[in-house]
Amino acid sequence: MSIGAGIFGAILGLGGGVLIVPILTLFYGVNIRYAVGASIVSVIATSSGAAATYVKDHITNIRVAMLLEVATTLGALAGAMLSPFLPTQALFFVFSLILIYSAVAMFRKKSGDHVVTETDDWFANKLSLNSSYPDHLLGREVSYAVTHVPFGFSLMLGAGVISGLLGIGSGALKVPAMDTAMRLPIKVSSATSNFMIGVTAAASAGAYYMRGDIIPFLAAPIAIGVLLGSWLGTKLMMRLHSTMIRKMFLIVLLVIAVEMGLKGLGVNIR
Amino acid sequence: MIDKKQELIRAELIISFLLRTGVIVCGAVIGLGLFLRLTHLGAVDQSSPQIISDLLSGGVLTSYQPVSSLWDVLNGIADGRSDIFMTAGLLLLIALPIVRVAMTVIVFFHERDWPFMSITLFVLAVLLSGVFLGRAL
Repeated sequence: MSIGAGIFGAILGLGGGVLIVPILTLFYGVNIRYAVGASIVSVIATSSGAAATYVKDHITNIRVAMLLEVATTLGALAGAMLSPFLPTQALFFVFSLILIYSAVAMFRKKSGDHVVTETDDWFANKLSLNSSYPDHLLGREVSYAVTHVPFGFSLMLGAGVISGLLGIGSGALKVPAMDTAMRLPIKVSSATSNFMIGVTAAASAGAYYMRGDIIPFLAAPIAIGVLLGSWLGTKLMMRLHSTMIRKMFLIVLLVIAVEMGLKGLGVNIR
Repeated sequence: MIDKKQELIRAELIISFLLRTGVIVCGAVIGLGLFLRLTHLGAVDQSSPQIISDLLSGGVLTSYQPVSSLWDVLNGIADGRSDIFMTAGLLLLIALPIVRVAMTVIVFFHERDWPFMSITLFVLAVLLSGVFLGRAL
């Protein structure tokens, strides 16, 4: 089960978390707080594995990542602190909304990069966030400048809260914040997002562990499954047609979203 | 300028290596715990069947206490307890990004990049406070 989540996660560039919480709560009847606890750990596992590759290829912008992690970790901590005080139904409902949002974000066609080479953003220049990355498709270094840092920063606060609250990586929220708002190239955005997800997740995972929400018997098999799955996923990705999988996955996401939403409204189907 | 670029590349390689080895080690420790558990080779914690059935019934585990001291983890590993092996692997996994941030602090210190060193130190403080806040609540 978790191997499958890892494969999907790696192929689609989402953390496996988006699938783990619904599967555990809807099919196995696990209380959502333990599902979230198990999920947040496996999010660290997938993110760290993938991040290692991107960092080595010099695609990740470590400076942008470190700056934005201030926002995501603060948000994640707030989310983790907040979650025990929210009713379970509210968690289901928010999860459902995030699933629908992820599905829509995936469906929208990538409109390409909006890269700029100069910026008048005070933070970007002062903290030298502007950088370049090797694009193998174009066969040259692509330079880019970073804009709207304060706006991107506040979006990241929100992404952090969602991640801490629901035990997901919330890469679907982080990538647009960098790609659309801060004008980073899409490859840099997704690599940097992956790099940040592990740290964001660790902020809330520490709190979840100490609170006793991460149960080894549940979290350990899932972490292993997701690790194996994401490793298989990267191998498989090169041979598969991703548009086909995307469409199938979209349907799965929407079905889960509806089920989670219904549970949030207090309707139990099974 | 060339020097700075070289240094960045070296830092990237170190971080990448840390992440990769860390994930493999964590996976191995968790896997060992699972193996011990499935084969019933390790010492079994008496309460575990109860925990699992409570979990699947959707309840809240009121009696569950996480292992929270390094001493307990080391003792459990010495006893070959499968649940402690799993716990140790999970804790290493949570610690991995924290170590990564700590290493980035050192990198920025080397580069004499004070603004970024403060930013990274702040992130490290937030991560560590998460552990303590979770204990308090």
